[in-house]
Amino acid sequence: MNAIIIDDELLARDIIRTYLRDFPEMNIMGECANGFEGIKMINELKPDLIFLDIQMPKITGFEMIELLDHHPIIIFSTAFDKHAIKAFEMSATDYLLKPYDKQRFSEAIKKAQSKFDLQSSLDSSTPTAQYPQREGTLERIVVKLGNKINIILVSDISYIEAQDDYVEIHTAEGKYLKQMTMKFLEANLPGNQFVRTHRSFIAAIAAIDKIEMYEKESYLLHLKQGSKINVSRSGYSKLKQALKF
Amino acid sequence: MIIIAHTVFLHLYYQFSLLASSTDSLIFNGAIAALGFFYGYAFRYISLGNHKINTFISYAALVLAGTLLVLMGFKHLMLFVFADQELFVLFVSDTLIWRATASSFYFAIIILLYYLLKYSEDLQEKVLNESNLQQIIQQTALDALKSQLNPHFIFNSLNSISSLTISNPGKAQQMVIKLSDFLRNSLQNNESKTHTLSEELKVIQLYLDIEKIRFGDRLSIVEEIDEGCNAAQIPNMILQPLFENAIKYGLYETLDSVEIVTKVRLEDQQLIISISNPYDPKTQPPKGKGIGLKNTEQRLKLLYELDHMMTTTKTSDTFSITLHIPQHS
Repeated sequence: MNAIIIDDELLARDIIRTYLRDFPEMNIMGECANGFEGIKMINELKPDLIFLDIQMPKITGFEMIELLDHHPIIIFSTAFDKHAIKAFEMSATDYLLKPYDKQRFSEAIKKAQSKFDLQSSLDSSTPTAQYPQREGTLERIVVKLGNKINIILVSDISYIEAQDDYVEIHTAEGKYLKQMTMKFLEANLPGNQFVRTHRSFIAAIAAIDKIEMYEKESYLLHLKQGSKINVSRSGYSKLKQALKF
Repeated sequence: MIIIAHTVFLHLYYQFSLLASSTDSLIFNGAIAALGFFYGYAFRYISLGNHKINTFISYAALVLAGTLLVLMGFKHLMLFVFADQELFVLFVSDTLIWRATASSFYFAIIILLYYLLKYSEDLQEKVLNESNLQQIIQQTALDALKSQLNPHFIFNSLNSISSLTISNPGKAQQMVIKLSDFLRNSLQNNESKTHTLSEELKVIQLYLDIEKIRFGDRLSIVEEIDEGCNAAQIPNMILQPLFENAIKYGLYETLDSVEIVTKVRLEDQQLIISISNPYDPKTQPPKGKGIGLKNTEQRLKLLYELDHMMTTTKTSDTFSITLHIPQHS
């Protein structure tokens, strides 16, 4: 199995590397110290397994996973216990709590090995499944634009438009495509800051300029930066509730 | 009660007409009582200043003037209405001095009652305030302890030590000792005590040394401390949460090397400490002061009973916190 170690602390990477010496079947392809390098390395080297810290500079381990094109087996290695449930929801194979001993580490390797064997025995041509989205109120969304990774603060979003399997996120600086569902966004964006105005639109309350009636029971929402978005009948009543008019 | 007794007494003992007796009693006692209530309310709601003696003199003058006014009015009214009852007129004139004494006595009782009431109210309020304060102090102490024993820091440090025991046992031992010294200081931390700036910085240095072992060359520390500041007194462990904050947003959230700058100077009998770190507003949601910073602010307020001892400033890439700590000359 080919592995990559991603952790912002050298000593934390050291101990994984040291433990791995006892597993001759494991080959370390590379190491990196943050999520940005991690994405690049994973998409280029396509490892079978990654060791991943969660709390890292700029983007967290969870956010990094969302941006991967290649989906390796994941073993989290972190000092936080509060993220364990979320990690398993994101199909983590194991969750190592720092500091851990070699025995606990071996168990994780065994789990990864059996998952790897199962995957290879099934059909090697089937790409591994997309990781499910993480749940919980979003504070920021990470998107990849070519080779560049953008971090969008939720507070900077003016509106979001559905585009088939993707959503188009609009901010003052531009628009970004992200593979996400409107349903997920509606559930996980802070409810007091966003309103789903239409099947295809979510508007930030702070970005609303005015609401215009343009046909019977049909409205158009004008946003401060100039865009106009559709409002359905149920969207209108949600707006009414949010803006208290 | 007083009015009826007064009426019966005048009617039977002095043999005045019932009308004269009752009018005398009603008007005199009514006027005195009304004046008493008026003063009661006036004292309650109008504060005449903080000096006790001044207040007392003002009250006494007010009471005296009011009493005289009421008595004069009473005398003239009685003389006017009951001019035909000569004996009664004489009686009214004769007893004025007694009436003055009696009314002063009434007022003394009213004022005494008022102060008793006020004292008990003040006492209750004081007890309530004190228990609130105690609660805040305890909460602050608890929060401070929690933030010092930051699990992220401790478990990551222990992981580094675990790693070093294999690769560099000597360094592992160094780190265990630094971590122990740091934890000992945190646990023994006495919230209400002060120590010198240099003692405080020694403990901070332990913390920074540990982070340096974890993050290597990425962390550098710059200190600009004016002469004479090292002996200045500051509350125990007051700077710890500020450095922790600087490390969290500076070091944990950036890819490049990070410089944390500490500047200390004395100015107008105040020790001015500023700590600044780089940060990236583009990747961090705009958050208010975290628990650590809020606690520090509250602790300073409780200790010195002053506002605005802590200020924060943000530029596009730097965050700084400044503390103003009073020094006794």
